[in-house]
Amino acid sequence: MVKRRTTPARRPRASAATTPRRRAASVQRPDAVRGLTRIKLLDLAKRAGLRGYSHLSKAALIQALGALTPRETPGAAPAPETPRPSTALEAPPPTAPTDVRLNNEPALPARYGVTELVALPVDPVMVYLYWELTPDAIHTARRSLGAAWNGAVQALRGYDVAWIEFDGTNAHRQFDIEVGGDVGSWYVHLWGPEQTLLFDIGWRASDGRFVAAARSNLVRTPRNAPCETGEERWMTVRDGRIVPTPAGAIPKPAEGAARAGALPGELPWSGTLAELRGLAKGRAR
Amino acid sequence: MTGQPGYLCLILHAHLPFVRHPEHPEFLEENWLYEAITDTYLPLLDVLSGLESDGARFRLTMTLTPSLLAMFGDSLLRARYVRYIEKRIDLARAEEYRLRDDAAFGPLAAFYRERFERARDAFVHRHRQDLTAAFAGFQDRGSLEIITCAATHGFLPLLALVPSAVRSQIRVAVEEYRRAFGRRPRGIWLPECGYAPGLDRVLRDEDLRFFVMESHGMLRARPRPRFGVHAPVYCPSGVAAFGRDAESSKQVWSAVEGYPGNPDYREYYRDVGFDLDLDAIHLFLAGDGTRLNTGIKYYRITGRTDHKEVYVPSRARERAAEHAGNFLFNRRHQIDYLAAGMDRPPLIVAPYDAELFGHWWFEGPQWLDFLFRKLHFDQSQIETITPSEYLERHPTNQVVEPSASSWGHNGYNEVWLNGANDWIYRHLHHASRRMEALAARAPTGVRKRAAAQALRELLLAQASDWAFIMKTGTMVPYAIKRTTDHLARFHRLYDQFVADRLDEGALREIEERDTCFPGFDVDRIFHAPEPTSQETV
Repeated sequence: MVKRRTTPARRPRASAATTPRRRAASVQRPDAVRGLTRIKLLDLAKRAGLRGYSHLSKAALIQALGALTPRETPGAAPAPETPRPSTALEAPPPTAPTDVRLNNEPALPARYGVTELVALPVDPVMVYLYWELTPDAIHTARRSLGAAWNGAVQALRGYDVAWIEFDGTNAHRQFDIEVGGDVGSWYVHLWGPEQTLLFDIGWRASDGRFVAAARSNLVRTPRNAPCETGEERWMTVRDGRIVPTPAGAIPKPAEGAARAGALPGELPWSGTLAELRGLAKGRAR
Repeated sequence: MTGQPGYLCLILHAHLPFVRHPEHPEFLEENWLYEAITDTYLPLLDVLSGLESDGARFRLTMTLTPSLLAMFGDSLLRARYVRYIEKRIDLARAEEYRLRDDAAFGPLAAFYRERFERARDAFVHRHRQDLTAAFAGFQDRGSLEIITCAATHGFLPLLALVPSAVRSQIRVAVEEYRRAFGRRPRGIWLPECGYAPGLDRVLRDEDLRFFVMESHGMLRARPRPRFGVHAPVYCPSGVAAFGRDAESSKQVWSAVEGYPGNPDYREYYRDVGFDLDLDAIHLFLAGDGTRLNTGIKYYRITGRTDHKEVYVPSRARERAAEHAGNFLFNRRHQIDYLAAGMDRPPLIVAPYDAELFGHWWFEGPQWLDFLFRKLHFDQSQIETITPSEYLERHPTNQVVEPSASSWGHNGYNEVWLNGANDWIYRHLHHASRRMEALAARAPTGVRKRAAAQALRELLLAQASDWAFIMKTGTMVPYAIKRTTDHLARFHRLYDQFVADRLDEGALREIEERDTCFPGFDVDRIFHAPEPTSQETV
């Protein structure tokens, strides 16, 4: 008989010398934080890059996570701030790895000496922002606000600019999120999918003035549901060139034509094992 | 049973990140390649050869990513693979001797010894250490379509902030494909199926004619495609998108409900590297004494508990045949159902990670072998097809704008952009902009070499594998180190370049370490005009 060791620790589910399996691991990120277990909230907090969240109570976690959601600020002064963990990236990346087998290259630059704000889509309802502000940019803002600089708060200002030529004043809506740090990052949870947004980073004075130091790129978040069926257009491509479509090549609408589109569309599928299990259970019932 | 005709497009996406550490005699993560060669690439080549010699017509599509091709072509890694497999043969021989009187486990030890010897002989003699050429042979004979992938598997939707970053990932990929296969690639696997509107135009500019995307990216296209994922669509650029079929995916992907979880199949997580006494496997430990997989696994899945029964290869083989029959049966029903609403034979696109077959699902290559044989010999309803063949037969397709999507958890960007890995993007974007500045200086001589190496370092840092590993939490220090080391080398070269103080010795040292894509010319990558065949589009 084969001699066996059964220490579970020695048989990790993903062994070190194992080819990495590229399919995504499971992460829960529901739309609403209320009603989640503390474990789920902790996971969300980790995902959102919060610091020092592990000791927080469930209520405090909900509060901290809720603070990530943008508030509508129709010109009014913001509500009193709840204490919020900073998400600033003060120092370079995470834990310094201690893999002694690898040569130690110098650390990455903590700052690049530019003033910038970058927005990246995470999913239909979340955007990630990172920024860097140079001392010059901060100084310029400070000069511009004059005496009002005292008490001014640093903030991200988001603009909903779908379908408009944005001139700085005509956004469908705008919202402020108070943030901190000359180098930092933030996750913004949106009110719905398929958004087109711009962001500014700057300072809002108590008199309501906002001085921006940088504007982001335009960021679009994707749909999370099928579109309505629309007018169909067909194309013919031969050898990489678009050519006129021959008469009769376009299929006529047929009885039951929606079938092919509807069948997979009914599956809320994104290819994950967790979803598969859910699907299988649903079918079994 | 004869039913409505249909097409099955099987796609295997073969990819591993570029891992090569000449500075160490042995390096744990290089085993990713050696395990995949033993478990997946060689067995797949074996299956394809068998089909060919038995006259079974088949069509298979495979991605061989540029980073994988770079490792296939690397003489150091080839030599190290031979050493790796020789060590496995030695271990299997020792096991065969130790278990010589054991009726249950003895034959299994012999099974592994033979298997490893076959792998060594195939690698050294049949393929002459050149797996690229081995796969290319099937492409030249028409049964395999090899598509490309972004140079280092960069997750393009998050790199696209700096458009040249995406363009250089694609251009280097196309050049490497030409170098490896002597022709241009027709299609591309977008890393992690990561698509965002506009990426198709970059593909069009490089004369790539199709890509593969996740089901929901296609089903949420505007307007909604009439045939769902069962016919390709054209993006406005004229590039075709093929959508993954959910039904066929889940039967193979799922380790629980899918075929790979069957109790008769081999258990991946019971390896003698963890089961035996240390004195029996002391040559197979990591440098720090950690136990490692050896590839010798004596048990079958059995059930969900820790109790495992001995693996019986003949039983597992029967199961693989049965599952191939089941897969085919389901596809035939699916096609019959779909055909009623379509003016053309329904297409089922079934893409999988190649390494699932053989490495994770040991019997996967056998399943594939049975499936192709049944498809050829037992029925005429379903025809296997490659995307290029499909587009030749059906060049008229609906025009839609697919939706941003990926095949990661929840279907968007979050696996590659979350609290565990978001810090990388600031650095990747800055390095991409700096790379533009380097390329703009039209360098020659040593400056040209430095710019080329800087691009190599940037590409290596962009690999989606690092962000993915940071997210999943295994081997995280290595992924962080790879990202930061490549970026740090990039910045070192950049600083020396702009200060006009290049250290040629240091440059050579980096060139010898990160050797992938030796042929490219930075000027061509950044400034080449679009291919002429596309200028009229």
